[in-house]
Amino acid sequence: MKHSGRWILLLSVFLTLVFLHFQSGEITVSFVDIYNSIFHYNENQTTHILFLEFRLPRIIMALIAGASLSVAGMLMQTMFNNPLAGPYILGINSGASLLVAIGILSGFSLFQSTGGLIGAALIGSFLVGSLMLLLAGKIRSNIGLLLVGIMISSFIGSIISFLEAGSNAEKLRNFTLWSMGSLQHVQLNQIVPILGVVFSAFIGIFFCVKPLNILVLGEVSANSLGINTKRLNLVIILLTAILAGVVTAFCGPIAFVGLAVPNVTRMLFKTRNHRILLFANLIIGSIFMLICDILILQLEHLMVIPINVLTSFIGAPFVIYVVFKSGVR
Amino acid sequence: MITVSNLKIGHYETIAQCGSLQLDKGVLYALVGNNGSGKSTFFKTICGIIPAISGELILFGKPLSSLSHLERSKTIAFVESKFSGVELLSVAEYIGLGRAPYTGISGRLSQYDFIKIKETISFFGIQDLKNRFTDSLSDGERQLCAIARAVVQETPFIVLDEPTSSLDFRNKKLIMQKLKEIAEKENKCILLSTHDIELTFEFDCQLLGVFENEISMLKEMRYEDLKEKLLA
Repeated sequence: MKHSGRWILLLSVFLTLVFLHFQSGEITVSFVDIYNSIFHYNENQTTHILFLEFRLPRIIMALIAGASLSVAGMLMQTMFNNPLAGPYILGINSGASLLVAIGILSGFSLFQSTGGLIGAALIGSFLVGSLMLLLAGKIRSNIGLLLVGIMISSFIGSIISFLEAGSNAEKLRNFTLWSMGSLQHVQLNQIVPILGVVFSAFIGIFFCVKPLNILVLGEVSANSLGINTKRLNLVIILLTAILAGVVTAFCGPIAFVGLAVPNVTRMLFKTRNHRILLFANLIIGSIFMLICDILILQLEHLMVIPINVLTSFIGAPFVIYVVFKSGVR
Repeated sequence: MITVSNLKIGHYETIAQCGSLQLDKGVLYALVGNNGSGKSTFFKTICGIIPAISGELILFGKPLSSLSHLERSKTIAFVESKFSGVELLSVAEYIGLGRAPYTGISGRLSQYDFIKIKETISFFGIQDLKNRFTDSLSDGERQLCAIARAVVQETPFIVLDEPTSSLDFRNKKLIMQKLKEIAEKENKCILLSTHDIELTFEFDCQLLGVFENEISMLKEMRYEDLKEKLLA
């Protein structure tokens, strides 16, 4: 198989990082602990509780967040034909944030449930995604589109600030905690529905590989090659909204992963074939998130770093590098 | 056979119209007309990319509007005026995308697809470019690849928007010669737009023109008369 060396390398890095993740933090988990807590669970053993209640959901969420945001970024970059597109910079995350903010700050009990949270985030990201799609037809330049995305984010940010200003202390605390971004707030019983939703989105994208490969030629060419581009764009927005929305709902806004990882993937595999890019983004996105979370765990005894801070710290300089390298117009 | 009757085209308001027109297989047609006369809009309309304002378009017995996206892609191949290449997309992959209307949901190419692609690549003499990335090619090379992609699509009707613009003289002639050859040998209807009117006479194209917002066949037109008409 082509690229097999790269796949093996990525897989080994991935497995090493999973191992390292369990070895990081104040309390480490050994393989024996993992085995025992799954097959011989004993609720009197703190390591068992620790693993199942904290470490397992946390690592799974790291993998889901990294993979989902990266694949969402890949979809955005193909659809807008723009290497600097991503769910965060185009305001898709902020759409999710807005509806989650309305949910948490209004205090409706419907929004406090897992399903309600997913639903709110999904609708929010889908609305902003559709708005961007509508505007993209009118904006010719790559940078113009990003500027509009950033402005939409700022605008929504200000609405959220209004909402915050009018809320009581407890609701505000809940929302602030959420908005800092974290992989730790997810509980084990929430993981299954999240995995289900994200996994169905990945399957949906797998069936879009052919149209995505054609879409890189631009809308007119794709159209003349038999692709219903209007419908395809809607499907892409919907799938992006699902991926970015779910992650945002549970981990808060996480910046730059969706922008940076698909660029790394393309550089590494030197291809525009989405069959390869999809799987490569899944694994490279997971690796990126694992690295970030391992750093957070390693520094835990010094300070608590929100995940969003770390991804921006690594991601933002990388984006500047991409601008210089590719000469984006 | 493609027939056009009482067609009005434009994005919102009519910018040009075509009373009646008939295009046959085996002929190379060239549409001439000044910038902004509506050549590109006409092409996008007959390729079904933008809707006509009114009128009728019949492609090989079926109205264009009745064709699905897939059926359309098996009937018409369209080459845009500008293909600036795609980063990290190789020439072979690019031409392979021309087979998209025939591949399954996975997009995998069959044995026949590969044979067809290989044949077309050697017809255009671009074997050496096969593994190059499309954004690293020269304008002439890229244009050849774009036309190869359209030919691989195996449609009876090929439409090319200014395929010879931005090319040097040698490449212009090469492209015209290849198109003429395909039209006659493979019995295809090929329609292109161009400002290189000398070439349309040299390669004995059937001329169409857009003058005063009317698209029509230019029969028995002399080179000097056409030049005068375009300058008027």
